[in-house]
Amino acid sequence: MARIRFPDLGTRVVFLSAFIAAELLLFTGTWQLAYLAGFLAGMLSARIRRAVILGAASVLVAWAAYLVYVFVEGAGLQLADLVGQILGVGAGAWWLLTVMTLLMGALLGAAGGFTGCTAARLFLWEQAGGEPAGAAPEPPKS
Amino acid sequence: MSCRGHPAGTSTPSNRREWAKFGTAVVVSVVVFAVFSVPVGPLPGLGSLLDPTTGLWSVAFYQRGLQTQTIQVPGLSAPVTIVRDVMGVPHIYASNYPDAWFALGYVHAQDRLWQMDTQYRAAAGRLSEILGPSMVSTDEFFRTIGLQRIAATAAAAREKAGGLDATVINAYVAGVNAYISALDPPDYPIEFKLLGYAPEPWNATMTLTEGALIAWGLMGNFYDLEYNLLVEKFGAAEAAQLFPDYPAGTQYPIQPAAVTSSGASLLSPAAAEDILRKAALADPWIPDFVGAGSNNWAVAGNRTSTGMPLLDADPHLQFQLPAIWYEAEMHTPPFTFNGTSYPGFNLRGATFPGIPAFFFGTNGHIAWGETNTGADVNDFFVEHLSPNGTEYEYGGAWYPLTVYDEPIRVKGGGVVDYKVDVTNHGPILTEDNQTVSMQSTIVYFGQELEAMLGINLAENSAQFNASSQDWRVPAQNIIYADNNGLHGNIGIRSTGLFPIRANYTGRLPVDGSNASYTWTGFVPFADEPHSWDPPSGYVWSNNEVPYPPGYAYASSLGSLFDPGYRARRIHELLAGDSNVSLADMQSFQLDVLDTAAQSLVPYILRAVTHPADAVESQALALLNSWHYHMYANSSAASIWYFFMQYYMQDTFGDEYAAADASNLTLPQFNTLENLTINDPTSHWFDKVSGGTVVVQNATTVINQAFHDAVSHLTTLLGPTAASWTWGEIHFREFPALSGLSALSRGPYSAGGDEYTLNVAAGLTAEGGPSWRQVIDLRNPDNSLAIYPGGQSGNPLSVHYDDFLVGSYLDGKYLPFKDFPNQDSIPAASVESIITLNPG
Repeated sequence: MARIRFPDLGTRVVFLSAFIAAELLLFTGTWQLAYLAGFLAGMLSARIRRAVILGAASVLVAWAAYLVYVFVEGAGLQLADLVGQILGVGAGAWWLLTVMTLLMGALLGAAGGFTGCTAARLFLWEQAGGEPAGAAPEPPKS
Repeated sequence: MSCRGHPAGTSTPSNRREWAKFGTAVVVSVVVFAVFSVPVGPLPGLGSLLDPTTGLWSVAFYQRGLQTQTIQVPGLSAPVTIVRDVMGVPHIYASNYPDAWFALGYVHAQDRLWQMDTQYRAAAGRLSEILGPSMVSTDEFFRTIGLQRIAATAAAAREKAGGLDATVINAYVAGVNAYISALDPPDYPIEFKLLGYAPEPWNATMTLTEGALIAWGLMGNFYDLEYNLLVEKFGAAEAAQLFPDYPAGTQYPIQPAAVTSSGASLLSPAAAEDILRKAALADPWIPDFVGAGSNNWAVAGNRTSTGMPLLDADPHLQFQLPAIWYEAEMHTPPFTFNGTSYPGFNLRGATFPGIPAFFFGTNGHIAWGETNTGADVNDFFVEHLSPNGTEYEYGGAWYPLTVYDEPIRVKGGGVVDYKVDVTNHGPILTEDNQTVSMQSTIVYFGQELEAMLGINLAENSAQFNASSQDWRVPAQNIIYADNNGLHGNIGIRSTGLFPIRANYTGRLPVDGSNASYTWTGFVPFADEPHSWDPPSGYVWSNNEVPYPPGYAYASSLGSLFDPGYRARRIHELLAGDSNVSLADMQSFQLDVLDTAAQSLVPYILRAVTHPADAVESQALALLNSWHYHMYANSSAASIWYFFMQYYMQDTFGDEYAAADASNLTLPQFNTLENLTINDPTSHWFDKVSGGTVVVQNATTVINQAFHDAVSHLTTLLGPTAASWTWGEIHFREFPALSGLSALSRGPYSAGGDEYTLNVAAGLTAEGGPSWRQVIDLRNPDNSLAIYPGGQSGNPLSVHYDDFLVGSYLDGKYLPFKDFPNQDSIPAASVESIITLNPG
């Protein structure tokens, strides 16, 4: 299987790519696909920790942006508040559904990122001792 | 695999670490997916609930479908305009009647789809599919009764008959399906999302199944079985004292007739209790009549301030949100059907979501409304089965049981194989100790929509009576008023199937193998209790006994009815007012005078001559100055309520306990009232305990009950009797059909009790007036109506409960005006206009 050189795109580019993917995949109406956005972030990340963080952040921010739209254009606040009541937390707990949703997005993104990074290192990128060739060197640990 | 630095097939520590990390990532991913995919009880996986675009969040955009817009829908023949007013009430304008009913189906689905679906599922015995294994017993009960089998048979028969009802049902079903088929999963009502299922296409059987559920709720009683247990415990003579053949006390029956008596108990207690247990499981899913009855009355034009009749109706049903009723207005041009010309449907009133008819309302010419007759139309038969259980004996011969396979699919997988055995009498309800079947008029359900549509179209009493003759199940007291002639006309009739029983009364189960115990027919329409333009100038019904002593078909209608306190009150109010106004009609409907208190408080005041302490003296003084109104701010009302409870318990509770019958229903209060007034030394007042009997009388027990009531209230609310206001301890509550408390409303402080016209039974009333209408036949535009809840089934909508606080709960009404065309609706009153175009 041919391997390619790791394109060290930088954090912003990786985040934006995954964010756009997460936003697009959101409209497929299939929550599982958020994982792919995280996977993309992972593939483009040299290190696992960064992959997990970028995967989680890109999906979380993409979903949060959509929820802002729901709150502004729809009855998102009332809905979230109602679900909070249904869950037994009481009135005013609109944050609960919001947090649960974003947490789910973040977990999917993080899991995708983790898998994307490790899979790419195994199967896609040219490797140099566990790090993709071309990846920026690990900063010295203090 | 090839890898720079790590040739394929080689295994280095670095390579193994990479694989380990990858393996860990895969495991973590599987765990994450599993966490969000695994159903939790009846709920689907969190993933589908939390999905921002298709999960719960999409409910936030529910208003999109209700905004002004033009929609192409298949199944229409011409455009229809639906104007929703600011209360969410749709006004439907169509150029032909099928399109109008199509539009009603469409708006029912738009506003109440989950309610329609779940009420249908309850009746069909399909709750397990969406709620899981906990619903299997409930489903088995409904499958046994067979409401869906009855509905399917009826739907086929009505289609074959080709009546107006079939045309209307088909148009309505098409309307519901037009909405459902255009509905994307993200747009499903919140309950579908929470339970993780999709609405099914609607059909005529579903409409009739839901109708059968409502019918069963109004007629599906098991009094015979409870009475059987009473006979078992007390003997036939004593049981007949507790629940006499004709209701005790002052009665105002619908129309002026001999009552027979049953023999001894035949049914085993175990069998009776088994059936009662199964029936109780189904109770929460039946939008039933709450034991506290309904009201309707009409006043002739010569006794009203308008010179034309006024008509009130308020059916008392269990409260629920979404509300049981849905208000609508409909206008169509005249039409001809099967060679008969009709004036068109020009209706406003109350509909049941899922059913195309206006059960309460007016068409500008006549007005109508129903109360439940409460007739005994269910009989129970102890069957003899063959040793192998496949045949039953009847008239000396053996016949095979009819067996219906009723597999019950259960959410989470699995199917419960359930079979219903049916004899010539009906389904077998229990084989616990004995085999008991039920014969019920419910199997004749099916042509009621034909009847109600005829009433909706009627313009005079002849047309009304011709249509009401088609009404079978459940028997209803249908009230009528029109504006024909100088002063209009009024009338009422108890309409439906009342079985004529040969050789038994129907009060107790009988031997199913004995062919002499049989139904020989039904009470002829002309002989059903009725009253038409009576000299008194008014007609009424409050679920009281509809016939007077001596009625030839008494055993066909039964013996257990409302105790008659509300009938006393409305009789008193209507007899005392010869110039009844619209305002009077409203105040009558909201009246909270308890005629049981009116009758018995004087006995308390006479009996309690030596109050035990200052608190009892205060309480007595409050009762002495009380005018029997169960107002929320009345302290005497609280004293009376608890006195009633203790008086019943102190009188009968000891005998019931001694007979090991404490789980059975106590007699009705009118029986105790009658004993107090006419037989104050009855043995029922004696104190029975541990095999000893202390002779007492009514005065002794009244003193005891008064003392108990005051002690109870002192413990509950403190030692100042003046502070024991009824509204502190008495509430109305409106539970959600879903059972979710967040979607329920209340409790709200309330006046009234079980015996007031404005019913609010118990300390927390979860039932009561479910629709109030006051129709002015002089100027129908002055008419008023309201119901508890709101038009929308969506808890996010302002129309979910906007009729409650500040309106219904405050005794207010909303305008019930006729808008004959779209342009007649003031622009300020319009919330949205939806145009449905043929597509």
